[in-house]
Amino acid sequence: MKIMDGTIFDIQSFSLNDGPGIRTTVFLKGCSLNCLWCSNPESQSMKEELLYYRERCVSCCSCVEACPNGAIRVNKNGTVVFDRTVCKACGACVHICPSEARVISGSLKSVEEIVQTAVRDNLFYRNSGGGVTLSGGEPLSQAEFVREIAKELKKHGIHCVLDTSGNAPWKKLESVLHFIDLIYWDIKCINGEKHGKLTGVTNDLIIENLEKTLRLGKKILVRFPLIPGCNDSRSDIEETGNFLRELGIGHIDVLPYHNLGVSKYKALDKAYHLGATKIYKREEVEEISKILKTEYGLSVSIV
Amino acid sequence: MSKKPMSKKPELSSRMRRIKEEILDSPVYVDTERVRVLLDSYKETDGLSPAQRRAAYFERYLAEKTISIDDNPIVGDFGKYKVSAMPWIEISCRWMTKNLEGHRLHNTMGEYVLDDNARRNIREAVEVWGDRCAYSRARTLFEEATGLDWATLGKTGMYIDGCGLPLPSVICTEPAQMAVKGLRSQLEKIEAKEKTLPPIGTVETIKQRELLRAMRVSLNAVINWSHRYAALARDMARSEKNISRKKELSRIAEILERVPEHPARSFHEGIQSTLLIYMASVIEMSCPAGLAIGNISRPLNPLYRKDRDEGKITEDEAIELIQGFFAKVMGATIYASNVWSTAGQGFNACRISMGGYTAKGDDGTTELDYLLVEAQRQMKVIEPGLACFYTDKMPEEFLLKCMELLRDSGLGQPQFHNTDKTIERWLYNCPGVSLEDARERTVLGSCVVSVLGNLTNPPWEGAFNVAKMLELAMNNGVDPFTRNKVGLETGDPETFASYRELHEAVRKQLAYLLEQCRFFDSTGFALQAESLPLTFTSAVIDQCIETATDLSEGGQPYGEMGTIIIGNIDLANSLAAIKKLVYDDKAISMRQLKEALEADFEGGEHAYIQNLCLRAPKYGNDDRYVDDIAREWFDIFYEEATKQPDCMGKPSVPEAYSHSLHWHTGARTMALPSGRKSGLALCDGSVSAQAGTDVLGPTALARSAARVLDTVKYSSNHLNMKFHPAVFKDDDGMRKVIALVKSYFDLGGYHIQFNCISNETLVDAQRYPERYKNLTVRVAGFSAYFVRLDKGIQDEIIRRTMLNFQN
Repeated sequence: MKIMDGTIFDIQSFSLNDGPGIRTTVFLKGCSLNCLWCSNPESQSMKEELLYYRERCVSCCSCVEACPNGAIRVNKNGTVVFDRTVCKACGACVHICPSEARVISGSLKSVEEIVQTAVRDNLFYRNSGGGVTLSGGEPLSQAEFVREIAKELKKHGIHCVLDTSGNAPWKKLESVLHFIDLIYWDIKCINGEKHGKLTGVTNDLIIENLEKTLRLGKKILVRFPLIPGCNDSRSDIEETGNFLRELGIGHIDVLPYHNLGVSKYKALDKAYHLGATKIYKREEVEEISKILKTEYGLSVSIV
Repeated sequence: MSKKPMSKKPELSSRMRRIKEEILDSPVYVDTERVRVLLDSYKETDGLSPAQRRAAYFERYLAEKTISIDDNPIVGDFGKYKVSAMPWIEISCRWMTKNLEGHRLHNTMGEYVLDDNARRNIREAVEVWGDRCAYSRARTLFEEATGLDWATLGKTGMYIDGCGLPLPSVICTEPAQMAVKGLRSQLEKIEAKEKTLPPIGTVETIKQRELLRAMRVSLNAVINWSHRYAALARDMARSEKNISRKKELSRIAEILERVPEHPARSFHEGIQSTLLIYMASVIEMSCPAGLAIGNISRPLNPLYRKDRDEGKITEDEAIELIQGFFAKVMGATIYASNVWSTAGQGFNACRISMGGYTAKGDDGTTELDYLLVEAQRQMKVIEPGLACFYTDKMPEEFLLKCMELLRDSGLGQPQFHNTDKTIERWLYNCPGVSLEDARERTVLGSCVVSVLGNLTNPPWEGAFNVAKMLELAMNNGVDPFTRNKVGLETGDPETFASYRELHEAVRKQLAYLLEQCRFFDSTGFALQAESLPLTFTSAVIDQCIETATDLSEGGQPYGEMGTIIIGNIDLANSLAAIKKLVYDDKAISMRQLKEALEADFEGGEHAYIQNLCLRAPKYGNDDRYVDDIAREWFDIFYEEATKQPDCMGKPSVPEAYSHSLHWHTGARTMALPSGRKSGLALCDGSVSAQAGTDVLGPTALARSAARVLDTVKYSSNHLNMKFHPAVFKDDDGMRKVIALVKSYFDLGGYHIQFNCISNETLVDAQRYPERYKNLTVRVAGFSAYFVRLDKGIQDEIIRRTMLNFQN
């Protein structure tokens, strides 16, 4: 086995919403998109990053001394000031922090380590029809690493889902697909221009890749993150419905917006642009599902 | 038949709601009617054998006891109040004076209320029984034999003795089976047995004849008790104006004239008879603690089906009768001492078992099991609790119904048990038991003890805190909580050159003190057996009649009684921290560690050491470093606790569960090397993780839990898990939890219980994030821990039950 390392930001066992059955979800770091609603902002950069949860800080200042790069100092009123530009995410402050206000996101893992961790839950997968989901970020940002993981999982007989935006060069995607049992494909917006505004990239490549993947006969499940005021207008829904119908896709998972990731933006000193966005009422999402069901003949699950 | 998730579900009928609320609103009255009769009757029976005296008082009590019939379609009360607690003077009573002097005591239903009459009766009873009760006599005998003062040992929190509670406090007499047979069948068996006794008088045969006679008196006393209710119902029917109630009262009278004396012919007769037979045992022991109701659905299901097929009963009517049964059980509560008020939280642990196998090994789930779950879904009561004996043959539909109850009730019910493991256990622990009995008659006793119904008598001994043994080894035999020297002088730990030396010191403390504690408890229990035979409960157990031996003397062919282990995860985490920090990594010295523990980790240097301790390997993460230590100590405890037989001379089988015992013992355990601070509760269950330290999720915890304890050898083990209700949002989510249960059982686990995280838990997690580090928010494609979310977001989650929607 070729030893290879990659950067992940979490492995979550007993994942219940990222594919069939009980799953282990591997969250890979790095993403080529920059979606306004992203709930895992720590997934966007390939690099290791420090998350500083100010609310949890007890101002003991032990991190000030621990930091070898002078990124942390104390101001006059005794509170801790953190200079991210100097931080090298070495983690020295994380180990010393008594209140776990400091967390490093991202760690270098080998294919072997990840596969070993995932294989331990084999029995849970067997009993639930589950397996492993490779998610992110955009897992294809580390396509080679992902391919090696998927290949090893296949050897172990473990069901593997790729959770992707589809935004990667076809060659990279194709090289991974061979080892994938099911693809969770995010469709965010059909209108290319709007897609650009919402995610930072146009959707030409995504759509082209989706069509090619379908031609390979691969199993795909389309997921549609439904974001208030972004992609939930009548025309957005109609375009999505039309698009799927033309491709002969019969099912869609609708993922209503949630704001659970907002704390992580603060901890990363990143701006969150959807701060004032509402949370849907169930009836609102059901109304939208109804359009997709009755007008476009899709089966819809609200996840 | 399976229902859609959002469909409107039937609610509790207004009649049952009223009945339930009346019970919940009622104070817990201390009922001393039994004590009064006991005092009077014992004056008259002086000089007679214990069996005769017990039967005489029991007969008189059931004949004179105040009875009443309320709006419940099921009749038969524990005491004279809606909610009663009865003092068991004969077993242990000195502590009761504290309650008289204003020391406030309570059980799960509330604080005890004593009127003047109750106070007078208790005062008189304590005068008579203070030195004579089994517990006081045990203390004297123990002190004479060992030179040790029991109270000094007890105060350290190393042991919560069991012999202050009635001996067979964990037993199942299979009352529903008896209801189908009728008590008269037992009277016939007694008569037949008497004829086989040799025509000669020996101490043994006389004891047997006297016991059989006492059994007959007790059975007739219960039959007479039901006839008293029948007469009352007739009287009430005569003066009742409401026609339908009049009819109901007449029907109740007819039923009680027939059962429990004769075999039940209808479901109503069956469940009524089951209640009276069960309640008679509860009355005999003066408390329901751990007295299992067993599997009532298999014996009664044929009656229910017949009635339903003939159009005599509807599903809803059957559910209401079951709820009436539940309500009567609710009214029977424990009068617990100050120790048991905190240690057991006044918990009765009456369990009804569902599912399992038939004698042939087929699926044992019946239609009545579904109705039990539905009755509880509407009723939502802590006692009696439902326990599901999981098998792979169980219908998915039933398991989904159980999941629904879990989600909707907030009770953690049903608890799940691994039937295959239980069968293996019985075949291992009770050589000679038939495979058929092991399959069919495995039911749940108390919290986690499984029993073979009619065949065995598995009470518990006390609960032993193994974490305390480390404290003693670290302090050369001195208990840091009471400052008394109660252990052995195993040496100054600072001189221990290796981890193994420490290990040996802990083991020596354990072996020595466990022996003392078991000696005390078995003495107390043996004294109960000697002077307080259970003449009614023995009479409903066939083997006690066949051997003419009381159940407290081991009248049944199989038995097991064992000491409960508590604090083993705390011990394992502590030993792993010492091994890692002091011996492997040499990061700190034993002296530094001891100083930090003495300072309760307060202060700069000590807080730093606590941090190191908390980061040492922790049980629950599938880490062999610490899991192997936990396994080693469960095995050591097993070995030490089985060296001596139980109080009936039968092999002892240790238990591993905690009820709320981990609170009581934790309050008396100082800071531990696991990083746990002084006075906090020890780990709950027996294989649950230290709060906030199982950071790899439920599957890693399940793997650790299944590995560290031999669930065949131990008679119980108990794992708790918490999930946000969103996990149970639809059938798909529930199936995944079912798969988790099955996987844990496939790995060898025995008992798992889920709590849907309540809002109180989430609020607690906001206050004490360090205890809830592992609480994950499970939403698609998202990764986060609850305690790291912003307060505002946390508050929102608390308001919502489905995470991605506004509620």
